[in-house]
Amino acid sequence: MKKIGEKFKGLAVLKKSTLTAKIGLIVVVIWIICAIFAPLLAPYGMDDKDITMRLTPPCWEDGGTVEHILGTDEMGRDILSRLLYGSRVSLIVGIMAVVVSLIIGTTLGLISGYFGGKVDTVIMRLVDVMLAFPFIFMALCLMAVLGSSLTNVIIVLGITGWVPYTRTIRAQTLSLREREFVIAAHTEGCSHWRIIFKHILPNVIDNAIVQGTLEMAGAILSEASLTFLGLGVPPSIATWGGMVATGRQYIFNAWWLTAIPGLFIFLVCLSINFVGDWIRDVRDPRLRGSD
Amino acid sequence: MSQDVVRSQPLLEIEHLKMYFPVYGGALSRLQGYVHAVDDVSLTVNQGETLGLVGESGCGKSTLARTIMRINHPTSGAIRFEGRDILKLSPKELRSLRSELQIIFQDPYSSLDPRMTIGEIVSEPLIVAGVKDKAELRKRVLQVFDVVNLPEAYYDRYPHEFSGGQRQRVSIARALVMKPKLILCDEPVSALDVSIQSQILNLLNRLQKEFNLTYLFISHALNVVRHTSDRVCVMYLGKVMELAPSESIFENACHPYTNALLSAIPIPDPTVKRERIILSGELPSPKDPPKGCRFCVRCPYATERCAQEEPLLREVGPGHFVACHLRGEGGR
Repeated sequence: MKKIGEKFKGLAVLKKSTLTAKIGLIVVVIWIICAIFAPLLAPYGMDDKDITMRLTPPCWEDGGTVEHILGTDEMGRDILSRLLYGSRVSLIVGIMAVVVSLIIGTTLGLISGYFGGKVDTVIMRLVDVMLAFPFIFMALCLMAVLGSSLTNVIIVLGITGWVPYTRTIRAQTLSLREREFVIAAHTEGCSHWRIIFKHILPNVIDNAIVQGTLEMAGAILSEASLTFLGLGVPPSIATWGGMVATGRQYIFNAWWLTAIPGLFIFLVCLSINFVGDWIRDVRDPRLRGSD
Repeated sequence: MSQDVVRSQPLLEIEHLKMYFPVYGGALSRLQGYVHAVDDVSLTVNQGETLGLVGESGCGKSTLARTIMRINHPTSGAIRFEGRDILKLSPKELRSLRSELQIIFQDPYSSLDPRMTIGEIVSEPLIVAGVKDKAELRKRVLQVFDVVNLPEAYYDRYPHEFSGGQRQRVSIARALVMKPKLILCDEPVSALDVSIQSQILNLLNRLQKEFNLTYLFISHALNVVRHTSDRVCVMYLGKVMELAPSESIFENACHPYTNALLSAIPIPDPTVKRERIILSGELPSPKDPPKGCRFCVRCPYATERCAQEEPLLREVGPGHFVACHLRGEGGR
C-alpha cells in the first residue's frame, strides 16, 4: 500500500517538477512511443531501398521532396523510417546495457566498500585491470567470441561498463559505513545484508541512477562504435549509431546522413540526463518536501 | 537522581578492558604501533544509577561505549552484563542482548537514516528482533512515541523535517522501543542548543524513573554530568583518573586533572572571580603515552615519581577512588 502511495507521490511531484525535467520526460516518452510503434509510424520499411532516390536531401533543402521528409541515405533508404526503427535498438541497448552494468557495478561496489579488507582489494584490482584494458579491444574480443547479435552487444556493454558504478558506490559506502545510523543499525542487531540493502543501498542508489542515465548515452554511442567496426548489431538492422557510422563517408556532400541521427542521439541523451536528475530529486526525501 | 532504587548488584562490570587500535603506515603499510584508546579500565555500573563518564576529546570515552556495544572487539579484558561475559556470546545470544543494551548517539543528524521515515527508524529494532505483525509494530512504536512526547503524525515523516531536539527524541525512542535495561548515552546533548539540552536531560531523567533504567552518561561537560549523575568517572588518555560519587567529586576532587576540569566550568556570573587552572601543553599522543602517570607531562604538581611510576586507583574516601601519587598535595 505504502509503495503505491509513494509512486503517486512521484506523479504529484511531476506537476511541481522543473522545466528541464518536463522537456526531458516528453522527449523520452516520445522516443519510447516511436520505438514501440515504429512499424506503424514509419512511412517506409526499414530496409526499403530506392536507388534512384539515393542521397536525397531533407525536404527543406534544394532538391528535397516531401516523400522523404528527412532525405535518404546512400542506398536510397528513407532516413525518417530508419530513425524510427533505429530508436528501438538504441532504446533496448541503452536501457539494458545500463541495467546490466548498474546491477554488477552496484553489487561489487557495495560489497567492496562495506566488507573492505581482502574482498575490497580483489575487487579494486579487478577495477584497475578493467580501467587499464582498452574498452574497444575487450569489446571486440568478446564480440568476436560471442558472435554479433543485439543480445551480445548488451552483454558486452554490460560487463565492460560497470567500473564507474563500482567506484562511486564503493566511495560512498566507505563513508556511510562509519556514519552513526549504520552503527546504530549494528547495535540494533541488523545483519550485514539488512544493513547493506536497507540502509546503505537506498542512500547510494540515486547517484548510481543519475550516473546510469549519463552512461546510457555512452552505451548508445558504444553500440554505434561496435556496429561501425562490423562487430555490433548486424548491418541489416537500422541503428542510430550505425547510421552515423556509415554516413561518415558522405559527410562532405550529404551532411544529413550523420547530422540527423547525431542530433537524435544528442537530444535523447540530454533528455535522459534531465530525467535522471528528476528521478534523483523525486527519490530524495530531503528534496521532495513535505506535503 | 534516583536515590530510592536499590543498587546493590552491578548491572555492568568492566574489567581491565583494553582497546588498542593498530596503526599501519609507511610504504609497505607495516604495523607501526597501537593507539591505546582504552587502557586497562575497570568500572562497574550499578542497577538504576547514572554513571557519568567525563574527559576531553580523545580520552577514550566514546571508544569505551562502542566497545561495550560490541561495535569494536576489545584487545583484552572482560565486559559482564548481568554476570554474563558479553565478549563470549554466540551471535544469537548477542542479538538477544542487544535488546537490553542500547545506545544514544551524539549527533542526531547523522544517527537517523535520511531515507527512512521516523516510524521505520523506531520500528527497526523490533523488526530485527522478529516482530512481524504490522499492527503490533505500529502499536508498540506509537507507545514509545507517547513516552518521548512525539506526536503520532510524525510516524510517516522523514528525519530532515525535524529539529535537533526532536531528532534526539527519535533516537531516544529507538533506544527505548526494545525496553532496555542499560542505555549508553554518548554525549546525547552536546550537539543541541542549551535550551533543548535541559529538555532532553529532563526527559532522560523522567524515563529513568519510569522504566528503572541505568545510564552510562558520557559527556565532556561537567555541569551536564553534575545534573544527571550519581557517580562520576574522569578519564584521561584511556585511563580512569578519578571515580567518585557525584557530590564528592564536585566538593572534594582529588586529582589535579579533575580540578582543572572543574575550574573550566563556566559560571554565569561575571562578578565571581576564581582561580582558573589552565593546563599547558598538548594532549600526548595515545599512540605513545607517557610512561608513568598519563597526566604527568601536563600536571602542575608532577614530581620525579610521577614520570617513573604509574599510579594505581586508591580509595581515599567512601567510594572515592583516585589514581594519583600526590593525593593530599596536588588536590585541594
